[in-house]
Amino acid sequence: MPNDPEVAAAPGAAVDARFEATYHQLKRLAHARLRDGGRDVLLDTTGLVHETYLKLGQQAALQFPDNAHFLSYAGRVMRSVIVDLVRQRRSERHGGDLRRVTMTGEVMERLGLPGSEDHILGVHEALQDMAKLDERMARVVELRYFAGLSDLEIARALGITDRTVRRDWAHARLFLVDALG
Amino acid sequence: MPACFWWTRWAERGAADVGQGMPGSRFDYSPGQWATLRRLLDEALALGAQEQQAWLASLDDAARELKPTLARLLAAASRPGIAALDTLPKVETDQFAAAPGRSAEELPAHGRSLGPYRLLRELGQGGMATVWLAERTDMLQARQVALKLPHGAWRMAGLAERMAREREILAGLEHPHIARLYDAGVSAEGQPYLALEWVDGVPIDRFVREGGLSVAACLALMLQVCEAVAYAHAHLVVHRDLKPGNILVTAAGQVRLLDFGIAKLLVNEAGGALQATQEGARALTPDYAAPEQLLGRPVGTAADVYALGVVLFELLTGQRPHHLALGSGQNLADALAQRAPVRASDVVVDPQRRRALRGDLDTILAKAMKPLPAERYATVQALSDDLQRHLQHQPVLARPDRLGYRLRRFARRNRLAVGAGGLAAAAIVLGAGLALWQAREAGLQRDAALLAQRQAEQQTALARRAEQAAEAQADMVGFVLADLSNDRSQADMRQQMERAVVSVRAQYRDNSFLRARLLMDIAERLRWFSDFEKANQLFAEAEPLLRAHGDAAPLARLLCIRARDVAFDGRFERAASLISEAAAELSRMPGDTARAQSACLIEEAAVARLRGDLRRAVAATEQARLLEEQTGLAESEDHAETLQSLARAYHQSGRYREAADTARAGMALRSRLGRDHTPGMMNAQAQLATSLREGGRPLDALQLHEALAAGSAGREIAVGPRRYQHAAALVSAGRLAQAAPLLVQLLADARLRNDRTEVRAITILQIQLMLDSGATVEAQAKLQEAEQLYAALLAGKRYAARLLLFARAQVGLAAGDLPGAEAALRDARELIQATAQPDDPSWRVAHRLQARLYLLRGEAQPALDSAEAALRLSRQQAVNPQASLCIAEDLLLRAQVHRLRGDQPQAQADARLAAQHARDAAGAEHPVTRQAQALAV
Repeated sequence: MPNDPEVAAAPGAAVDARFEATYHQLKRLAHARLRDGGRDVLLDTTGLVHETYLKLGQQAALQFPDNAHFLSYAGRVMRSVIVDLVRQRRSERHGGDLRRVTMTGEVMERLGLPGSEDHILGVHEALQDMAKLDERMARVVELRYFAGLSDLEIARALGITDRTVRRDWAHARLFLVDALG
Repeated sequence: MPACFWWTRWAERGAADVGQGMPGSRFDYSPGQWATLRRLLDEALALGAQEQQAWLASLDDAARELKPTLARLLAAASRPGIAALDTLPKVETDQFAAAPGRSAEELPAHGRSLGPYRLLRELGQGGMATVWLAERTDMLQARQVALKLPHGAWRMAGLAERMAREREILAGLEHPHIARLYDAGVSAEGQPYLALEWVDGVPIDRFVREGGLSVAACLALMLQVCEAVAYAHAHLVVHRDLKPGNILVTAAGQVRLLDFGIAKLLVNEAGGALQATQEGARALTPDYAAPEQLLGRPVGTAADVYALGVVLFELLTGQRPHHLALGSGQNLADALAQRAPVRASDVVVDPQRRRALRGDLDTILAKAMKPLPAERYATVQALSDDLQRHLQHQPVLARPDRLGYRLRRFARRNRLAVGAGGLAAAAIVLGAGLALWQAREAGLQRDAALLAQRQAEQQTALARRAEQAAEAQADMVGFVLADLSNDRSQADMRQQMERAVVSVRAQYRDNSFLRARLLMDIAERLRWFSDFEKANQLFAEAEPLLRAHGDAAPLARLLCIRARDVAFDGRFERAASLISEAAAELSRMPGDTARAQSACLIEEAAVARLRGDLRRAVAATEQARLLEEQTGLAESEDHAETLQSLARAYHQSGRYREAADTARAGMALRSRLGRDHTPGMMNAQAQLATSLREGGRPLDALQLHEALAAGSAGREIAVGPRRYQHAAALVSAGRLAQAAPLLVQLLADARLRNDRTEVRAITILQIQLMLDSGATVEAQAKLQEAEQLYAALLAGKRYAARLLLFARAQVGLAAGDLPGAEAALRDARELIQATAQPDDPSWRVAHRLQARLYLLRGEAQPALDSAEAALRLSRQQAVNPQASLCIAEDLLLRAQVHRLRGDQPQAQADARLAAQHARDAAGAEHPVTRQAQALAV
């Protein structure tokens, strides 16, 4: 899409237009993020992208000069979506509202491995701390881990070289594994 | 960057929630340490594993404190968890899949528990949810509830939060005619649920139909419904989804409303539109939804009024007032446009029923279902009251539907030029969130657009019908836009236009024909708001498309508007050629071109005016008026605008009486069209006031201004120029004390806005005021200011500079500087001679000043000649030749000349007549009246 200053002027339309254009891209990304293998997933890809869109749609003041920025932002949103979902599941399981009935055995059986949720939240919170020291590195991780972009895509989204991306990632993974214990 | 800010806030939101077993942060490095770490890592990672050990050992003192950290980090590369970072891990779930279709395992089943409820039997399925009869098992008395279980995409995280918020409000609605919401929550499996009072009843439409109820019985039921809705509104809850399916009637004939505010609970604003893109999902029942609801605009209690209207219509006639057939792939805008208002009595067959509905009930229904929220009943109570009145055979308060009347009238006109554009433009202006509501079927059908193109090519019966619908809609667009500009500031409107532009470009990306027309439409409206730059951009964008399609009428309009713009820059030749080009385009076009021709005549008049050819300006505008009247275009807002242009043209030619009459005609027309509080009406009133003032009726003008000021209190509509006219009227009427502070304020405002034209005009008026007050010294000082302001215009020998020269002359006369006054006057006459026509109203001023000059010089005969010349003109220009302040002034002047000549009787006669005029036109206290009276004895 060409650089369109008019689009920036009408925020709602900006998101809509960008969303349409990158819908398939986002879907592909989301699908790639969630490993498949015969078991149910947290959200199917359509749901993830739509939920992303819902939240994006709420941001009235958004302005996207082009797809790269949009993707970068979409990555951020996907992260929040996933984290929210995971958190909610955990709080339910740990008995947030008394009104909710205790789980039957059946339901318990089909719940997910706690480890996965911990991992996601762990990365999320580590990134928060990382961002205070190195915003760009945190962004690289976010786009890679949550949004599943390739190095080249990350580079374009952030406006840096893919060499920088690789370097950031090489460091980041060490810091993260260290932080996650 | 706003986006950054938002994300950070978001991230912070969840910071408090740290689960068990989570490691502490390992990122507590200082920035310096961090930088060093990264640099060292670069070095280390370039080495092999063995070499890394050696490297570690050899780190110098500066980096030694970081050595353990580095060791740890490098070791991390071989830990098992490192691979896990490459992608998101999977999280298991059973019911979180937001699949569009529903697989068997996902549905709840009989006997299952959901939260504290046990499912008994399925009651029904809707687009959004399945409803089960369920029993609450944890209470002493088992209570039966209707358990509504949203499915599909609704079963997503975030719902619980929303539910909790709204639950409080909705659970608090206790009314005999409202089904209670007992509970709302999310089960452990993540299934949201709503527990509602179980009502054993049938939908109201079925109840009425099967019971064969009379009109009175229907109304009685409706009154119950209204009571319930009004109660909810009082508690700030809007239903948003009123329809017969939600209005049940028990066997005992009691109404119970379901699902209050549920639509709001379940519909996230963006999600509502998005929902429709998924298969099998429909957030709203479109037939009952108000236009603003469908287009994603903010929804208030008026939307419920609308729905009630539709429901009542259906109950009384057995049919819906309109069907919104989205399934065929039309987009929402076109679908809305196909809906024309229908009278209830027209659709029933049974003559008895028809008689019962005709009149009051027709009117009530129409008022409830007005497309614009502001035109409906303001409250449900008001609707209910009118229904009661009808039942009691009392006159109802709603007035007959003039819109319907108008639309039928307009359908007769040929609005081919704007027709197709009007369709979508209405929707665009009404709402911003369009373009997302697409049909369920894949692929866009462009029937409406193709039709629009076809109708330009050939006149088939089908095309003609669509055209008529489009005409009607096009007029609705005009009304909508004008209406919107009442309640909103200009800034809002401009923003609205911006969004419309973006929407048009996106939505009509593939249809340049319609896109061009719509952009033209918007551009023309932007000109109303004086946003010429933006309008020109759009014109430039539309022009090549119009040419490519040979779309003559809008192209001609574009050329004419452009002609006016270049004329404004003084390029009259270019303007003339553009107008000829426009005429050529129009002549090439088949069919009725009246409207386009008329528009071009108006622009031609504007060009002529800029050229100084007032005669041509008047003639062209008169032609336009006549053309419109002869081709049946006369009952329209456009015609009112033509009348406005004509009034202005007359005014500039000094034909004040005709100007006033034409302005009045325009006002009457607007009133007939129901456009009483629009900017257009105010402009017409302002024009009338100005013409009255210049035509010698300052008191009348003042009255009108005062009424205008009262009427537009609190509205931000181009107030500046009008206030100036008000001030001018005050000065003319001799209310100098009132005028002075107003002018000071206006000057400040104008300076703030950098409105040089207005600053100049105000300064001149101030000079006038000062001279009238006898404050000659102040006037002289002000004149110096004016000299500066007019310097450029004077140098360019522009017509407008005459005002400065007149001011010079007047100040000269007052200060006794006769040579100065003479010089100024000579220059003024030269200027007017060069730039204006013989009947230009400025001549009167010139003659008057000349007469006064001669008078002061003691040259009686020349003074008399000039005074008579002035008097002739003021008689000609007077709005009321029997009572005009201008005539009074000139008579007074002549009286003074007669006195100079020694002809006392003649002087007294003139003075007496002058006093008579002045008293009637300007009041007994006016200086002219008093001076004349003094001279009369």
